[in-house]
Amino acid sequence: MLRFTLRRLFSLIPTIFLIISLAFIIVRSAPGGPFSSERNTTPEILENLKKKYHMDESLPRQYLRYVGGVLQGDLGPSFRYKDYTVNQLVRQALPTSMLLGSLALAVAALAGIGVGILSALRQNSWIDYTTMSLAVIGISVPLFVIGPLLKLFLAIRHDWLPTSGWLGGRHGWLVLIMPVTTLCLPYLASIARLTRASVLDVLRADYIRTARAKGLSETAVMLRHVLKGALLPVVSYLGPTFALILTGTVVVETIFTIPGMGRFYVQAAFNRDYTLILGDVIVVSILMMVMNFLVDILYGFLDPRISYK
Amino acid sequence: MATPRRPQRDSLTNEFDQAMKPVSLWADAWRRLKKNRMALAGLCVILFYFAACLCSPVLPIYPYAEQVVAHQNLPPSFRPAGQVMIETRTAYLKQTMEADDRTEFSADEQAQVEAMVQDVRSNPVHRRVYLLGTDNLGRDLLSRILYGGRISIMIGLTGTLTAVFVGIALGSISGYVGGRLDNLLMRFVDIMYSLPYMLLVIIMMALFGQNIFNLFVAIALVSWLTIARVVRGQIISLKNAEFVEAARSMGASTGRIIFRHLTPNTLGVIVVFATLMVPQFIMQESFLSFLGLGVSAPMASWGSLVKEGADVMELYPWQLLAPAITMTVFLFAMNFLGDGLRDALDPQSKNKL
Repeated sequence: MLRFTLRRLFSLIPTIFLIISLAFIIVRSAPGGPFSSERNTTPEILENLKKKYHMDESLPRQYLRYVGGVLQGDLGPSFRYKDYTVNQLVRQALPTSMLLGSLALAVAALAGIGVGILSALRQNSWIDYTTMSLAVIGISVPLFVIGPLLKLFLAIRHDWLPTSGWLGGRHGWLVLIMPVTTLCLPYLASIARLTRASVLDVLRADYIRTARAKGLSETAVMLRHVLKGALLPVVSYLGPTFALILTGTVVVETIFTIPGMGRFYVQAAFNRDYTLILGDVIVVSILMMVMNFLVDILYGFLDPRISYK
Repeated sequence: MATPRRPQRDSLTNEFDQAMKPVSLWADAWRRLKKNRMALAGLCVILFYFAACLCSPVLPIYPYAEQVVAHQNLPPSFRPAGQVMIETRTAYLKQTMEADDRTEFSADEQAQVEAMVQDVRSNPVHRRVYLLGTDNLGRDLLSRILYGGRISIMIGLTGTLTAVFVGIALGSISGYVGGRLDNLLMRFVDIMYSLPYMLLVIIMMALFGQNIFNLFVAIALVSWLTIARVVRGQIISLKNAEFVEAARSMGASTGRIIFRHLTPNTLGVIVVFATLMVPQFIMQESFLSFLGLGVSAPMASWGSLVKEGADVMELYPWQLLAPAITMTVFLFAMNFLGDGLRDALDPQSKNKL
């Protein structure tokens, strides 16, 4: 188990390098540069600016310098937010996005699995039909439609919830409700559908018949056998979902003006803030990989057929 | 002693020697699909959307980019724009009048309304009817939604077609040939999967400029991954089947075996995937448009319309509701049809993701 974990961790290193290189190439091949929007710059000033950020060196050297920095955990200075390093910017914004994303993922997973199991156990009842129709609505309505509509009805038409803002304001945790709801709904719906399908599959499996035949109580069959088996596809869905939720935060953060990572994605690219763009990509990729890694480990606990050697 | 009747050529008989009509996979699927009312309703809705968007240049609607300054932010109505204009203006003036504790219009306001009435009588443009209202530049929202639908649906379809063709080609070859090539391709697919794809698309759109071509390339770039994987899996499970051996023993070339014998057998799965991909592409395109990275003005897509509507929803909610509902109904119908097709083509699976 330990050896598998270590080997899996090591296999992530080349992927990270690949992502850094790819992002570096994409970012550098785009037209324009971080200083092209500066007004009234004499060639000398431009020269000095370039020197300061090591932009006067050849591209391969810049690449090596950057990768060297990243290896030491230094994402470099921001080109646009001149008084900040990318590390500082990320440190400020990431906890907000992570909190939003993890809450949404947790709500989506718990509620989705609950609803899915319920409608599978009551297959073809009205509960099943209602929840599954609602689930199709859930996956059909985009985030940026749910968000503004919730805001329009709950915060503007009625003054029930705050329209925008984040923790630390005068509204307390109430500000969390709408963003988390918006962000989790599509994934809640997908997870509910997935859980229902896989519970139905597992209920037909031979090992469930065996468990019942040897006289286990229905509760024991459900908890120990059905649930464990049915959660496998759901768990493997959680990895990619986390990545989607992380990018989904862009929209939610825009709608509810939340100071998270989202605002950097678009702005940094427009500003040609090279280090900030690359920093975003690296941080998000690492988060994604860690999540997928955790999912793999969890998988091993749930499915005894998988052995990590 | 009766001689056993020889079955006719090209006809099937069962064990009682009764003639049977052969039922193809597709006829069977259609029979099952017809029973699924939600899926059929979805199909009708989609056909209606296709027809409306395809015909929008010849429909009696106003040009989608034409701005009529006097008709800004008019609410949806069946009556002519002039009348709606006067009503909204009077209602607004009444409101300010009450706020100021007056009981009559001032001479200035009276003159304003008079002038408007005169203008409405003389100018034929005020006879226009805006069923879904207008946006903040005085453009017909119905027309913008129809033309936006053309763009959104076109991106959904072209993205899906590219994904399907590339996915089938690479997936089949990878699955059939196997070995090194298979390893290489699948390793590549794995790496692509581990990229924060939407983030890269956002960055690429912001870096290289917003136009439809870039949008299409960015979306189609990774869309084929899933299809390639699915097709590969299907091909691997089929490639040792007897009909493949038969084809090979008759001297069929590798290309012929792959594309004439193996690929058609995976079509069922592909159709289902493709149907569910269209709404995803449309959502991705609108997602980018919502961030201001999609199609550029005066062109519209559903996403950009929702974005514009969301910006002014406090005052003019119809500008958000009209495109949002239009888009949701379409996505809804697509998803229902996709689910229905899956149940019809693969009766064993029950709404798997």
